[in-house]
Amino acid sequence: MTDKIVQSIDIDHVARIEGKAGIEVHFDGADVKIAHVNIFEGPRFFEAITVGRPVEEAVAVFPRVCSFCAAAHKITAVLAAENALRIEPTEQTTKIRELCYLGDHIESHALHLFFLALPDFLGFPDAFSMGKVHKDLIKTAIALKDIGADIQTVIGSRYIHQENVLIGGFGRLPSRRNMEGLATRLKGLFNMAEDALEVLVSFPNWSEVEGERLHLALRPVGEEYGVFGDTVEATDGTKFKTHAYRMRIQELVIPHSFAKHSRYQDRTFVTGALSRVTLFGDLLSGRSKELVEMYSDFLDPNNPLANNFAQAVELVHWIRRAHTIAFDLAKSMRDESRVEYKLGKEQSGVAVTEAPRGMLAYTIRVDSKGVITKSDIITPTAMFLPVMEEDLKRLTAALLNVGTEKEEIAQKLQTVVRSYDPCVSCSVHITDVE
Amino acid sequence: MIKEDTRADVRERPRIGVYALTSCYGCQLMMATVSDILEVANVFDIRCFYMVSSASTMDEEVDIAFVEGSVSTEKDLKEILEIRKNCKTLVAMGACAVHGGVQSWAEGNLSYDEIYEEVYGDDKIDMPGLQAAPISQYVHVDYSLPGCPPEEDEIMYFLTTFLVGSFPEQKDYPVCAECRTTGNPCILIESNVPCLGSVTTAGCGARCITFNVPCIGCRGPVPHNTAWFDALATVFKKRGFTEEFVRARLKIFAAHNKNLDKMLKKAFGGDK
Repeated sequence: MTDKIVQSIDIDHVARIEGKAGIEVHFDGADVKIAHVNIFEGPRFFEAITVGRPVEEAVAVFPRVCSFCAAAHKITAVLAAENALRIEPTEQTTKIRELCYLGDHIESHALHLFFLALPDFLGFPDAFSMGKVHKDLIKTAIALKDIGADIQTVIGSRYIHQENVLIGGFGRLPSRRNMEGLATRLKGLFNMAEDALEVLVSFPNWSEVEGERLHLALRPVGEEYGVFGDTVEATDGTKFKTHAYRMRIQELVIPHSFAKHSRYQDRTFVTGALSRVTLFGDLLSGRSKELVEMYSDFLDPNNPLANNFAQAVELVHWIRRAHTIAFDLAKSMRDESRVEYKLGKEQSGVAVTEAPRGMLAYTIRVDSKGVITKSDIITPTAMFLPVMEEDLKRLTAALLNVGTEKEEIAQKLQTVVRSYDPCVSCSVHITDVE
Repeated sequence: MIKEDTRADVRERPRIGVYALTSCYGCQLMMATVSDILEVANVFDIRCFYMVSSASTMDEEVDIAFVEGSVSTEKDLKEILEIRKNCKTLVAMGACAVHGGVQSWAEGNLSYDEIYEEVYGDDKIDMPGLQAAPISQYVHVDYSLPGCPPEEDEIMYFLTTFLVGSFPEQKDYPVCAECRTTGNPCILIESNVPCLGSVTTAGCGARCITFNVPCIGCRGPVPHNTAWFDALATVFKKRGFTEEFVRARLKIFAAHNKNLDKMLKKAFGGDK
């Protein structure tokens, strides 16, 4: 009769993720009643504390939302501010920003894959102990993390909270020689960039966690798989302009969460590397396209663990794309001053970009004195958390059905949470899936 | 040379814990990615570092605790009290732990309820939140490691002083001192931009000014009343920047700093 007593799995603190979150699952036999992702980060109120402050100060504060994706927040906030001030960055500025943004993706994906995710698959508590056995792997991890960080440092002043990404351009431009150095290093990493994928393909996705889901991603501008765009597309065939995101993506405040819940046309949805590869994988080119075709089985859109593979493929692509941009800038970079803006009437600006973990949306309203009157941010983690909880519920039920021990279930639940690469600082959240 | 991880060594190595309250996790990310991290992991016995290791635990005693983040919830408060109880030396790491951080920007202007309403409207959330505060508001702090985020060389300096049984000294001179030795032109004087270097604690090597970006004070006010009052700190007034403007900007990172008003009064000649 013991299987009739309501039992629970409580993980107070999921290690190896960005931020502080726990997992709480209640079940009665194999009937899972509740699957919670409890997020214990306190509220940080970025949308409130920036109101009444000069827009230049506010864009310096926004990257502080999150350290793993600081450049994403900085660049997206600056784009929204420029949109509100009705100025356009120059082509060169956009190119340098894209390189800086790719630095963020490379650093973030490398940290997630090697330091946070792979220890699970290879059976270690952390990358330090993993590195004692797999010395080459940790060398690769550090080399990839370093190039991602150094791209951001060379362009943005440092790799956490870049100050040299400003409204209208840069305080000081990197030199051609800087770009040449980055291009040379990036070229030398083409092979290493494939190492994460090489390890991962020995570990097939768990079918127990599979379930249909809706993906949303930004269609990249031009013909190249990338991070900027102005149209969001969904796997159900619908799309909308980024300027309309507040109409299309609803935010709900739920009783026990400091993070608002996102819905797209009343449906939960996911965003992130797997969504990008699912929707726009055909825009990948060269080696990354080859790899996507070679390992398409691993890139199942309905399996959250496939996000690890999608990030590993992106790492290959981002390193090559970053090399192309740096190589080009090493030849073409010219001196350019910041685009200046004139303050006019009070106006709003919008920007949506693809951050390492998925779509990041900013709206900033600036008045005639250059002061913020309203801001709105939706982070990728707030978007995909409800689906993550559905996955935890499904996985627990499937494992209970085959009599898996609680301890093993707990381990697997954490691996699924990590595969999303959640960014808890971005979203404070407790929710209930019933 | 990297020592082997034998049990005898484990007993001798200083035990450290790295903990997070409400923050962006940037200080921990800095610490986890210092270039000598593998050696750090060998010479210290890391008992708690949730961001990087699943072999972490909150309730174990450690010699040195590094705490990132502000106290922003009841849970944060419970944890910082527990961390203090379990450690010999407590280091406040980064702007949030030291001065409350950017989430304290509205301190003194808006109440918790007002900020809450701006973000969540009338909807209710059943989790007790607190007005963000530095950890020193609740527990004794032994050392402060400033910065948003802290610099890699300072993290290594703190770690190595603890390793040899010494203690880290606080920098008591402003960013301007480093900016002069870096050889930058003074952008406050030459370009008339509100650079906070003269009143901000050094240690960053004048990173932002080197990028022609004005200092926004992420390392907090210079301690011990040693800002450059007889030189650049008085230039704000001459250049038309008001005391209120400079105060608001300094409050981005240091809203809870007790020296702030005194320092500004002196810089703007309010005592004369």
